[in-house]
Amino acid sequence: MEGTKRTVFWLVLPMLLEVVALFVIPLLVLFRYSFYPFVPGQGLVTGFVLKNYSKFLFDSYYLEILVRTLWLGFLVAFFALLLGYPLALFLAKSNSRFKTVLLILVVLPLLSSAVIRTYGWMILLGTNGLVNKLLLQLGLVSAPVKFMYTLRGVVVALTEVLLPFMVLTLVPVIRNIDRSLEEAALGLGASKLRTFLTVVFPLSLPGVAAGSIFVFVLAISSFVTPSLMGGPSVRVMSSLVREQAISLLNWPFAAAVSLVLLVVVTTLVALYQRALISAGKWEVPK
Amino acid sequence: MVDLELRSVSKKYAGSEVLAVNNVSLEIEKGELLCLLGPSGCGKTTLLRMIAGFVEPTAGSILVKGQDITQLPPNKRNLGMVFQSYALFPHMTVLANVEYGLRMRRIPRTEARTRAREMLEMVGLLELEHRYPRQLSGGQQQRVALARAMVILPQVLLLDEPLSNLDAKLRQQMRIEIRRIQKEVGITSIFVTHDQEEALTLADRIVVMDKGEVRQVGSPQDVYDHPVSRFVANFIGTCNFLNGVLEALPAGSEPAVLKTDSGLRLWCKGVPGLATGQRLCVAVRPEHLELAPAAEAERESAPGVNAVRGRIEHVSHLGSIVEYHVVLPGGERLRVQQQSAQSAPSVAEGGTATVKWAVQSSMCFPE
Repeated sequence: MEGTKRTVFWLVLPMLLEVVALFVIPLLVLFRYSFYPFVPGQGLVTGFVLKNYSKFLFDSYYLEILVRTLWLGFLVAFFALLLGYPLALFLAKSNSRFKTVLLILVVLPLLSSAVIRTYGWMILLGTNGLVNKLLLQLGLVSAPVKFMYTLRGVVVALTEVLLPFMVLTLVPVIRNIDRSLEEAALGLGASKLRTFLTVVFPLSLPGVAAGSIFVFVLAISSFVTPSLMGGPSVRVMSSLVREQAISLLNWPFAAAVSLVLLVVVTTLVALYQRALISAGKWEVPK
Repeated sequence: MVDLELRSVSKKYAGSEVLAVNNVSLEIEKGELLCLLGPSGCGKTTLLRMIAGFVEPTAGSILVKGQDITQLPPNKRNLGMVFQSYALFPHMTVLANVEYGLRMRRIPRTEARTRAREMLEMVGLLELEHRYPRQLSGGQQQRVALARAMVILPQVLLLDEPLSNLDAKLRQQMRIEIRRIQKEVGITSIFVTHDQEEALTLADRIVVMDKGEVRQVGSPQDVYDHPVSRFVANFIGTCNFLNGVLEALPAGSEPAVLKTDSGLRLWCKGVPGLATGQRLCVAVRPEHLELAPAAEAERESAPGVNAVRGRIEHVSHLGSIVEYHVVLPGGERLRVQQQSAQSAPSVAEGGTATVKWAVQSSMCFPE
């Protein structure tokens, strides 16, 4: 056992060093910066003030950005679940020949950059884009729907960008549900729908929780899609940080905003891990 | 009264050349416990799953109390199934598991609860009703599965190797338990197993299957004492086999004569339709063989009793019985079983002895 532990230590060490050097230390620096006072034109001035946090927490403008970001995350997670669950269910259950093809199609978007995919959506969702032309032709709307520079557009594009993460989280959870449980339910007189509602869906809830939190976290910390699709009218936390740090050179405030976002994200990741652990809690020992 | 009837049921899986189940016809009486017995891959589980409705037959029909259910989906069949893995719903308590089938039948909540509790009492688990399956031992899970399947008062109870996940001792207890409950409720049951001992202790009738076909149907004693083929004789219990050619047909009081491949001449029981020169296989159960001191050999070999000399290669004490492995001069090996109390002290490992058996206790299978 001693030897194994030592081997594990040496195997983990390179990654550990990398994480400490490139993540933990910068984060501590960021934490320190967030308490510096901001004096325009003087660069970084050392000191200790709580002003950066109070500015964020007591200004409705900034709080609105936080709420909008969380709302965006919720909407994206909700729609990703709505679209992703049936797909995951099919991928997990079907023996169809097209299953592999479909799975590749799900993963394929991950191989292209979010920037490219967002530009794609900008073309499709523009005022004269394909989607609006189609809606007008079908008579579903009388005037073009405004997608560009609205939260709606950001939700559409982000949902597509993050859908693979939802599907890939759900598939193994659904696939691991013992098939004989469904047969048992059917044999006891449950219809296919009731079998799904009383057996399959409840047993997939840990996957639903994990996938939703995963997508939520990725959505609220995304930068490219909200900036390109939403522009200045859909401000989110990430675009606020960028603006403060790059345009206004207010590094202490940018640091404080980043840390607020970090705390929210970390809390949710902790919940995500607990959801994953509870996925194993229904395992029946033999 | 016939509760369940199978009429020429066959199944061929897509992409497979052979029939998983080949033209099986069976009738199961009310209250009967029928065992489907066979090696793995013999089609017994496929047959059970067709009755349950999880596998669609390629041909034939399945009738319950005279009503054709071949086309009914599993949830409309009113059959109870106990799975090999128990398949208890892990997110429901023991009570909720047992109530499930009643809830699906829209039986009022209070009545469902009463009936579920009665059934749990019958399997002796009432005090564990609020536990989750993961908090139960294998044997307890097994009982819950049984209660859940029976509470819906199914027309037929189907059990798919329900004891194979339990350890040997518990398996024997549960056998008796299942038999008790089955008799108490008087429910028609089909029990799938590959364990011949299980089939012999549990069943009213055994159906021996091999390669998708029924080889023999009969009571446990019938199948053990009068197997119809070498396969059945070999699969149920243990058997010694001697291969050879028929040398002489039965004549008067003398039985037929078999010349084994190693040149040994043995008396053997005649079966109708034999011809000299035909290849035969003689089978004798180890408990029908008897050991005697070597000197007795030729003297005892009268018509009706075979006596062959051999060397005792190995002796194993199996508690109440002793098993001897005897090598005949021609190289054939025989297993002889005797009650421990009767084992002769003169026959020890490495020595020679005479193996004797009555022709009447042997079986003869043309090849």
